[in-house]
Amino acid sequence: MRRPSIVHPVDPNPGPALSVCAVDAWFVDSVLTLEPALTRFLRHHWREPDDVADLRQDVYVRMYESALRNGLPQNTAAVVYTCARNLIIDRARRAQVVSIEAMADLEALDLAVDEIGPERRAGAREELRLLQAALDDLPPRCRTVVTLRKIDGLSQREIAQRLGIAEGTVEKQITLGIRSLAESLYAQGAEVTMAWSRRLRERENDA
Amino acid sequence: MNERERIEADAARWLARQDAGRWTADDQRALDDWLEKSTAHRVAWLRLSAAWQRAGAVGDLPSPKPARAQVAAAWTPARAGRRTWITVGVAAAFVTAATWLLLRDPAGLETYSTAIGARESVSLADGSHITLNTRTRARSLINDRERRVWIDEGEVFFQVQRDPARPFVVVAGSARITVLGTQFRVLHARGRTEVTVLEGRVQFDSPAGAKVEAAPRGSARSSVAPPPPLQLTRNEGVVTEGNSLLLAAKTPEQVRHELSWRQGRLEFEQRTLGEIAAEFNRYNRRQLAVDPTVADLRLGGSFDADNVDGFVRLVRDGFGLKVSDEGPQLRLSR
Repeated sequence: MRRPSIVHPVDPNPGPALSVCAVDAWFVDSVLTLEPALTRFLRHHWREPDDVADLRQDVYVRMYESALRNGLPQNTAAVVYTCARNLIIDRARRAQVVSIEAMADLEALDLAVDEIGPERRAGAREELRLLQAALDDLPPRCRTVVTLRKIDGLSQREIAQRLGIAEGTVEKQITLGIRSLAESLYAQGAEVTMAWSRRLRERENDA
Repeated sequence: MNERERIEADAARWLARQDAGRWTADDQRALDDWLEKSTAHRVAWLRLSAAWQRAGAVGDLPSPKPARAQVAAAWTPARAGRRTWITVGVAAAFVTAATWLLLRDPAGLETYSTAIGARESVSLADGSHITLNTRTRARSLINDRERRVWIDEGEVFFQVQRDPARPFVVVAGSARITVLGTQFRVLHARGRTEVTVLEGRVQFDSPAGAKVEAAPRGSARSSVAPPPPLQLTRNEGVVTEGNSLLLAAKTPEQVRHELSWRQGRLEFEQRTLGEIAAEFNRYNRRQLAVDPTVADLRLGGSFDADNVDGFVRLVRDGFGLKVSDEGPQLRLSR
């Protein structure tokens, strides 16, 4: 029997060591879906808006490494919240920018996980609206290329032929589009989520 | 540009290059190296990759739900034509596949198997990942024209790299599952095939003549015969056995339980002792035999797949069952 080319053996005795694959899947499904709420949380508790994306990236790195070392957490949202909170406290201490009152405030934060709740995936119709809005945010050339790629399903080569531009140019516009789409899709996810939880809360109140 | 922005820009460049369709084994190795270098690289790449895939998950496969199709049609008039084209393409691919496989150079064909109780994750040449569960045999064929995995026996979890130019087809017995990029599991054993979708959308082609039944929860789609290809999305599943086919909407908990084996766990909720014993028996040489008088006892919990002894102790102490050691098997009775 021929061996597969790349194999990550998985320990048959489940221990702390997890395959990168399992952590990747968990990270995409359970951590990234918290991004809108995590971003809101960081914005609310960190006074420098320009730092938020960096802080978020640090939370992601810590979450990923801890999962790789210790296994997947039971309640991801709670761990993300704690991680974000500790990171802010660390940073504030190191930078010595925050008054003692503000620190006490932060440390006394209630550990309720409400603030970072599980995100709900939008329905297909909602996804379509989100994607349309995200596409509208792109600069015109980039929007044309990404629309042809994502909506019309043309390959990068076909797009280059259709628009009469170099394939390298198409690839550059896609590079730009990927970052920009990610930013707006995750940001808009927040609206959907808030609308969702509002609707849920209304339903609970009605009942 | 700070460190984080530089990493993000690099990650986007990798994805765009991968998306360009000229991806080689060397590129993959270089990407793997870059991802290995730091967790910051990996999380940035995963984040952009998930968003880019999500942006495409909306309109790629023809949708069985008219409401969704209408929205798509209203937005881009060119869609109707494209949808027909895809359907024809998929059908043609099935017809030619058999002949094709006989003529084709067997390069790119790989065979995998796992022993009882083992699990193994494999990266395929196209960047997709498959995780083989206990006692599984599968083969894969990845080349420029197609991506195909056969499950001869056992259970496999798929994380498929998106590539609309090369549909990813899973063949399990007489069932075919076609995907563009998603995560799902397929179990194929003793004439029974189960599919559960964790993410994205797959097309399920059932064996000819299969009768579709709605699941008892009323959440499944209505029955049609002969069955057209079925579209399964997140948290939907299908079970086929012989000529019958059952479609069901699942709760996220159910899907989580069904996939817990990836962490070496077996999770149950309100399952009969008979079913649970059958699950344990897939992973262990030490087999459990359940007396009919207790087979319907319902229980739940989360166990290490290889900890049969722990499970047996638990039901003995917790439910007062009798355990008799009959050499190769342990019998549970009143």
